Amino acid sequence: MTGLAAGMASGFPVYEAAEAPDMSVLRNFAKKVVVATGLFPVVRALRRQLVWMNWERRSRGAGLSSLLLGVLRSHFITGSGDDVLGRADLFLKTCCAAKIQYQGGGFLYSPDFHLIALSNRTDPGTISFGNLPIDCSALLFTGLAEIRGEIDSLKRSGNDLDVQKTVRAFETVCDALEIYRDRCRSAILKYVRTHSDTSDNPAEVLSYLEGAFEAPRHRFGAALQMILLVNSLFWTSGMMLVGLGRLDQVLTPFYEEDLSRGILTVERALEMIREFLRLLHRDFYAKSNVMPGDTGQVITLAGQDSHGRDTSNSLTFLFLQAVAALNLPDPKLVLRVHDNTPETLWKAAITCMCSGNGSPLLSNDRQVVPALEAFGYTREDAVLYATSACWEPCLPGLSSDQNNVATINFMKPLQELIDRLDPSSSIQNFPEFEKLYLDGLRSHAASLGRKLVQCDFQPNPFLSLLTYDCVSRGQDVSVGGARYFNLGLTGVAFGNAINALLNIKRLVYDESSIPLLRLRDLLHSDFTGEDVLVADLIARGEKFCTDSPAALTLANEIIQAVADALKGLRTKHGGKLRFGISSPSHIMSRDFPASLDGRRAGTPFGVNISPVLGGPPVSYVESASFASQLDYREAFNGGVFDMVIDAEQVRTNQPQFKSFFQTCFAMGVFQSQVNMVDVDILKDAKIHPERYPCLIVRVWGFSAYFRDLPGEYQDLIIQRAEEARASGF
Amino acid sequence: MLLVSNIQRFTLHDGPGIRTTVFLKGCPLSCPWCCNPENRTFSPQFYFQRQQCLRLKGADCSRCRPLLDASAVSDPSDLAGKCLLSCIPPGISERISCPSALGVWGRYYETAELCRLLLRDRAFFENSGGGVTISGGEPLAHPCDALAAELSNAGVHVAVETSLLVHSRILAALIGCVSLFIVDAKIMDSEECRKLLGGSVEAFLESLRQIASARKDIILRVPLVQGVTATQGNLNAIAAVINRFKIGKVQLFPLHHLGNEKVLYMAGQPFLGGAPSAADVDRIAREMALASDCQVEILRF
Repeated sequence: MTGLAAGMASGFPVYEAAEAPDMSVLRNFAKKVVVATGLFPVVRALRRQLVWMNWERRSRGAGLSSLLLGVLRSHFITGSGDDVLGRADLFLKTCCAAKIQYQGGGFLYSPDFHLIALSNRTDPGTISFGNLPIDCSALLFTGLAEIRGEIDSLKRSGNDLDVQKTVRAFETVCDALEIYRDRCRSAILKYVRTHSDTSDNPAEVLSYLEGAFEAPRHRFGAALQMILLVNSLFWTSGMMLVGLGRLDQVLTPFYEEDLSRGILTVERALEMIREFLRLLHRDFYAKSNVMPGDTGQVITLAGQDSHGRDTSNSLTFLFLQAVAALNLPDPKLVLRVHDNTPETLWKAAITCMCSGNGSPLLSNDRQVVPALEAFGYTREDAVLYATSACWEPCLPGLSSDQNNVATINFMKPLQELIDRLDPSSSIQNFPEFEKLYLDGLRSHAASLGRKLVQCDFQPNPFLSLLTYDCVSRGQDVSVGGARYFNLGLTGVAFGNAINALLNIKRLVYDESSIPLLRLRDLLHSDFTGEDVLVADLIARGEKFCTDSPAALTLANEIIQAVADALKGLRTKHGGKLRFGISSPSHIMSRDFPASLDGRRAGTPFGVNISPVLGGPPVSYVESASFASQLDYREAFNGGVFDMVIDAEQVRTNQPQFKSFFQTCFAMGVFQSQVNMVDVDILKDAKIHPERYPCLIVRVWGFSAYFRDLPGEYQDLIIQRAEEARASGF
Repeated sequence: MLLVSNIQRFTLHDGPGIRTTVFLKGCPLSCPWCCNPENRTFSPQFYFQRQQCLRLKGADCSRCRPLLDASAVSDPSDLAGKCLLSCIPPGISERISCPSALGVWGRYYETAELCRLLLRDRAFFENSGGGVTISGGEPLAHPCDALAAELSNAGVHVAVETSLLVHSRILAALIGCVSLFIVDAKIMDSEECRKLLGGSVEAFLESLRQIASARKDIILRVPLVQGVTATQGNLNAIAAVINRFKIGKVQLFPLHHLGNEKVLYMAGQPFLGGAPSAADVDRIAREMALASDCQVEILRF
């Protein structure tokens, strides 16, 4: 999916990758027609449906006819405007029209992905809220009764027309929630009438729904059910990348109350959490954004409070245990770690990692919290952070930050600089070249930033109801009702750009072996006939994510350049711009030409903070040391140290890996995630070893890089991995 | 100066915790099954990975031509296994620009420089109970006592992986600063050891006595080579050594051929011997555990 398609799917104005001029002209014309005829929401929604239904049918091996059947299940509602009242009206209609089906089991969860809202001429440049963690505390701990009371006070007190409109919108949302709750109850009663289900489940779920939303008198199961209802409504209303926030913190009062009253056991709680997670996973493809799995369903656990005390609790461990046991790709876990993280929690985290599902991503409070404070969040708020869809620190319930509205392509200014070269260009030395690159990068970032701060946001009164300060201020999130409303950018090709710059330094200026213009021509030919040069660019010289002082200096200079470019920019509502250096690698690489790190046109950029593909093997300690020295104070919108590790290696050396991660974070690594290797990766690594430079396997008495091993031993490891998979590991 | 073939960071099986293993190049022995054959010779050597050669894959590459001309050879494979200093003038090796197939194993380091490099990962050692392992080759044949002392003085846990089959002047110094000796127990018959490996069982036993007397941690590693080390007689002799020196931990590993590919890179002949069957390895482990009061671990791959 191209950047533009990804943008259309999510509603975000994603930086558009370069494409053939005739295609972009046609695409823009088509877009104008669609917008002018008011069909944009329909086209967008149908396109999204086709994408995820296609993923789903391929996973099932179904034919194309299932796509048609899926489209035929679509049903439509029309809105009455795009202002806050119109969006509230649309939300009300959503709650009235969404298909609700109870399928038995301990909870009702029924997001309707076939419901399409037709509102008036939505400007595609307007950003829909998404990609943020939802905090249900307002409903769990306050309840609709009190919220309505606050709304009534505002109605009586203010003459501001905008506030009055917003207040009416909030009232409509409250009404809508009660309607949806009642419809859910009806769905369960219908189920009871039509199914011979002798379990206690329907009655139990009915009890959860009794007074749901209204007042904070919930049991643990009821709290889980409310979270599912809210989650279901966000997905149904078209929000993407709906995060789950700090569930171990939010649910603990209910959990402990039920335990103390003897109506819940630890085993039963674990069972409920497992069912909760399975339900959230059920619509995996429908929830996926750019690619299957990109759902944004992240649960953030633990962390420190404002006094540095650890906040992990029993639920932290239960969630880790449940995710490890289920071994599903989604929902995902982020575990916040810090200086006082208990040893038992570290061990539980490593155990969960060993399940091979990629959870948890580890986030270093020691780096993240100060960075948030330096940016402008108060400490009391900063310690409450969760993450957005992937890794961007975000404050659930307090901020409406949109942390992935655009991507900085660090390679783009370099490409433009080289393209501008002509025979009259005279760049005498590398510092001069680097200055030109950084100037171009600042210009690129500033230009992107200036466009972003002009963006408008689509009102979302439901989200506003759950965001502190919006109700008390009578302001929707779209106009700055939340305490914080900043915009975030991700970063791609960070490592690639650094390697390309280092290669230019080496070949053009240090060795004087290839003139710049010659390199430009070779790039334009996609290195045709230049396999030797490509191998040289990849394998020789100093590289990103190694002990190279030059690479580290360059990395931090690049970070500073972007920070300087964005520093003074403000959104219409006073928000700032934040950026990071992590990004999914494929988003912009397919349409990007060859680059001087040895990358051929269309091939992937590097993944987060990791040695770039195909280069010399780099040990984890070396790359971790590099990652620990980057300037995250400026680039805190995601900085993930990314590793691929042999699963058995970790499983049989868990204490050492626990120590490894503890040391990494003590040194200053910002965040980390681990890809546990399976047999398919091993097989691919045998054929394409350049893709897995840091893949470690265990030999009898030492650790070795898989790519260094003789072919017969690679076969032996693959065979062992297949046997292990067959035996259920 | 120490000749080093590799500094392998983040090793997990050459002692406790997270370690860095430094492989010294050069060994007086001639173990046919050696898995690090690049560490036999006491000088830098060329290696040539034929399957990585871009010219052989059809690319127009002549990166190695200056080196070949200076060495008076016509093909890079002619350099495989050749000692650097013996075949080309000084200064040329620094201009090896082959990005893929041709390279050199072995580089000289001053002790201080090597120590500085090894201490880069100190934080990982400290938190994991790890450290540095000096391996090879045969460390006792290198003046590595200064390196071990410097690391030990810096508070780093030092391990040495050695055959102990050579008389060494530095053993006493090493005993003073090394915490763990990982000792290869190969052939216990003096004559056979001398003929096949070029090693001295007398040196082995005397060195082991000194290390045990100093109450240093010892792990005995036994490569199981069918018909050579895995014979009943040899295993009984090893068990006797374990009992005599009260060694607490033994690691058995069946022969593997990981070194063979590296042998080919140096134009040598690979070792074709075999390992005992998995069932026999299990039996050997059980019998050794019974015969000697120690923990027996099988290092399988």
